[in-house]
Amino acid sequence: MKKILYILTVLSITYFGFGATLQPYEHINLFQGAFSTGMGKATTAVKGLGTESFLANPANGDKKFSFDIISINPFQFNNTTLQLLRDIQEIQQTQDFTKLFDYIGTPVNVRLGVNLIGFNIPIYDFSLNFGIFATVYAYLEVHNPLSTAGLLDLLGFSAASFFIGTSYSFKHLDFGNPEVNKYLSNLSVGLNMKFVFTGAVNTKLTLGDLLLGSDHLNKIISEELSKLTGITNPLLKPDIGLSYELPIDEMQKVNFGLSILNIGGIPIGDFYIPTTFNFGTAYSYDLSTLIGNRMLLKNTSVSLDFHDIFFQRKDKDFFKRLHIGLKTDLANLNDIIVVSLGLGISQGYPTFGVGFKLATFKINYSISAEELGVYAGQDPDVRQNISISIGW
Amino acid sequence: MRYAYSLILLFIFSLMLASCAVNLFSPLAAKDYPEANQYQAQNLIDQGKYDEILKDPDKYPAQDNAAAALGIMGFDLKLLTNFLKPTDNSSLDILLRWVDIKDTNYIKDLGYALKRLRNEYGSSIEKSITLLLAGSALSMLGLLILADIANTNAINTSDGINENEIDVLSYWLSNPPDNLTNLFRRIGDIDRDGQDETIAGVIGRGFENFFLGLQSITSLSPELANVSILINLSNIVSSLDPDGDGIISDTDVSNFIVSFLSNLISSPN
Repeated sequence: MKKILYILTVLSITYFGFGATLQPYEHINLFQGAFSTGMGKATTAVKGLGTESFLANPANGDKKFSFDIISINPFQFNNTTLQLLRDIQEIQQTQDFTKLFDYIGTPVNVRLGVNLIGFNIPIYDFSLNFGIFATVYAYLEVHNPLSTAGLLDLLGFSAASFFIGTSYSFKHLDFGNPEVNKYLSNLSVGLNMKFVFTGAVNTKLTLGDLLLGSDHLNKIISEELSKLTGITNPLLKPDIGLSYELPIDEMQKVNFGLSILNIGGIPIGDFYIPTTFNFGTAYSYDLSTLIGNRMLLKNTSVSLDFHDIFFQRKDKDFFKRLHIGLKTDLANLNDIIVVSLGLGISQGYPTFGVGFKLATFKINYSISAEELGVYAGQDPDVRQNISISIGW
Repeated sequence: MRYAYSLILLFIFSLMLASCAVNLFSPLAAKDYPEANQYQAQNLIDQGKYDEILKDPDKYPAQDNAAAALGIMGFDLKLLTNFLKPTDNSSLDILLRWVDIKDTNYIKDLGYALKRLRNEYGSSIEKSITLLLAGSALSMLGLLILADIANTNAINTSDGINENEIDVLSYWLSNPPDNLTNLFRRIGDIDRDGQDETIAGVIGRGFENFFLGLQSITSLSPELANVSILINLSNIVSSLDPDGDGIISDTDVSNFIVSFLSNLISSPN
């Protein structure tokens, strides 16, 4: 009998280097703001969210001066993360990776974004935007290794990006034809150039790796994690955008937005963020005027986005690309004290966000679910997002 | 307007309570296509919902079909780690524990999964390992059924089978009272090919798949360290077809099983 076990074990142990890379079904972006997540990520046609708006569509440059210094946006985690953080010390001490089996089928996710600076400076019909942001993202999930999922999905990347871009409004541009001027005056265009440095860990561990034992697993994981600091040569990736504002009357308007993000795609190790064409529309209604109170329900809009129009992501599900959002200032005291609300439906899952601003201090919290599966509703991962910033 | 404001707040808190658990688009989304089914199979296996896969196995990849059939019989990661960690248990205990006698009802699911996996195992190490494990499981199940049929007082399969009982079974097979007719008892259409199979056929097919899995792994992975293991394997495989005619008959299988079990009880744990 021992012979069988010996054969089984030895043969399994002789398996080296067949680990594949992981290209997840999750729609991962380089930047993902906490508040815009709370409003269902439907921000392609929504202005007024500072850096979050601009990075969703470069034509969304704001007419108001704003800046952020050293903001954390977002700190994102799911509930499993907290439990794992408690267990990870024990795993390190005992080198017993079998403890990970307790996490079979429960993904662990952490994301930390830091915006060192972010400026929006309006100059005539231009709006100059520039800043630096960094992101660290980690995703880990243990599977039953006999299935086609393999044993362990491990994906993480670190990215640092300097961006500079501008949006331009055609408002005062004279085309020599009043009719043309009338229509094009509502148009804005934008260009954002991102200089991106990335490092990535991306592997799918298999049954063979497991059978090689804890030392082997430890070695692979250590090697992969060291790649996070192996920063690549900088990539220059532009984003371009269009925005068209259609006033209905003094209280209502409709915005249309089209953005093409990460043109050329961003390879992060073996993982890839593709070029995406995103379309959005937003309807704004001046509810504060309607109710006769300038402090309540200011900056209200509902928005609808369809991301990745040409289905460049790994999955081809229509509803995973659909995002619906609502935002409003529940209370706004001259932009000094602001309580904001974001609601939405992202990939079919309800989202909720709340923001609080006191002079130069801003904090946002949102709860959302990310679809990890192939279609909307298959495998949600509920995540919490926090952002804290100092700015104006 | 206060009323409207209150309604909005109520709506907000309702959404918070819903806590993102419900997907509003899910009823509209297309769900039945290969990519989605493969992802679903992985999830179901991770959650231990093996029966969901076995209910409609053709919908899912063959490897996941086999993994579900193994999973429902008790093969899990914790058992696998017994191969990795030194334990107080004997190696025989470890192997016996991973196929529970109470689950022989799933032998048809395993047989069918193996039939499917046989068509594609050679393309992937992972599939080959699964074929290997499923093949050994099928052999073990055949032996357990045989032990049940043997109906000797020394073997009680209702609570599993232990090391002593394996010894008895081996002795019984090596010293049959008259002949091995029980080996050729028909136990149904295991792999759903329209023909009933014998116990010998099931055991033989299990071993055959086991060795095919091994051969595939060795051919796909040139880093095989121990050459003597290869030679041993080669001898064992060739003993399945001693006359070398390429046809593995029931007689070949019965002779092989007797030989195999005889070696088994003579080898130390």
